[in-house]
Amino acid sequence: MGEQFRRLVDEELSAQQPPRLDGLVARAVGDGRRIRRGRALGVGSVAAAVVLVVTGGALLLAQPPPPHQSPSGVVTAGTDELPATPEALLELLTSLLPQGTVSGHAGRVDRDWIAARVYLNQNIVQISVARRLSPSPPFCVSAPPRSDPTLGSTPRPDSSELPPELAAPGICDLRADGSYIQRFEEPDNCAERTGFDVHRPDGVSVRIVTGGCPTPGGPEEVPGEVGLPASTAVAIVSDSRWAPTMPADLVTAGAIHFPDLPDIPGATPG
Amino acid sequence: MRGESDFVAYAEARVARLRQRAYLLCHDWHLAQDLTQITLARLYASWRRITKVENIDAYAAKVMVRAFLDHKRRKSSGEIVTDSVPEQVDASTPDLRLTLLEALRQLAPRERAIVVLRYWEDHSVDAVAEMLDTTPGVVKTQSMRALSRLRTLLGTDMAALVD
Repeated sequence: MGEQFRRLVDEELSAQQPPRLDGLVARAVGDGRRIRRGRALGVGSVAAAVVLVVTGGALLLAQPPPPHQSPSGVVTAGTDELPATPEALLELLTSLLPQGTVSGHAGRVDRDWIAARVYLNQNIVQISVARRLSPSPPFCVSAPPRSDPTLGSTPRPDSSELPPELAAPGICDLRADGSYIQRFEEPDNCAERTGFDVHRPDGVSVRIVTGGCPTPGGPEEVPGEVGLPASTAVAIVSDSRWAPTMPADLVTAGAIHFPDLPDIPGATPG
Repeated sequence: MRGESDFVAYAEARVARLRQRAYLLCHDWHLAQDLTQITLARLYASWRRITKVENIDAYAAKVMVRAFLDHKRRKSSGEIVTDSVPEQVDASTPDLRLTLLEALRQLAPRERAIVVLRYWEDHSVDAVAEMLDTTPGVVKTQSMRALSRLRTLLGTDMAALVD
């Protein structure tokens, strides 16, 4: 029954190139332990902690978010924060970008993520903030020791100043604050071809896109030295203010500076 | 603990297949990785009880499909924007013909789950109904609807593929 169907599906699956499975079982065991501990404490499932609710175009957590810590160790006050908006993301993003011509401002909010996009010198820069489905960083491959002489021997032109782990897509670099940073490349994803992901221990993932296809109605992308340098992209995506709730002053300023923000062109309607 | 080593042995043996199923459901390898991790984490958390279940694989399928459908309910969009999937094709033109995976992708999530469970994994109608918490009648109806849609998309006699 269905032999031919199975064979055809298996043939097409075998032609795919999935990411490596490294460490997935170990991460699942870690998550499973956390679920057990949660049950023992009567907290409920891990999944319940990451459910998001959309209200009025803003991203809200089902539970109050824990205060997050900046790299300097300063805890931001929850009372001075508001649900993040695309306008607030743009406010922060444009304040962090290097000097250049910025155009094509756009934003999008969805149930599980929120995003803002601009073009810097006609090269895409998009930031998005999401809650992970699972508490562990997904699809992270452990970084080899930095002393590995084979790493960094063929650095990408724009990443020579980065740790060697970040010169290769798919490898995660564990940082002192417990977050992971990972370079990604998704050739089949027109909107988000390349950039960096930060997976934070508070369950928030932040993505900066520094390469994508030109979008209908958007500027033509011009790859080259005028785009965002990799080190700057890493610095931007590592900013601790990217979160489902953001400082109230950013949210307010964003609403003033970016009224009537258009939707990100090419995104799937929510 | 012996239970943990049993779980790890089970998980290592099944993880690739689990992720393939997840991919057939969501058509995104990263989300597939996440769904697989969630499924295994939930199995681990209840492993002692699950080992008393007759068919652990069927239980894992149920966990994954429900996680997938819950995710789709919470997240009405989130499909990766891609420039690689044609919207409408002329099935009579071989070069433009959809692949089976691309055609599956165009089914509604629940219908896709039914097709994957029924015809790729060969679960019975009753088993699929139990996994989806519905009736066998609904599974049969949605199976027929999904196959009809695939036939339209692929220009293929789906009955010949699944009989």
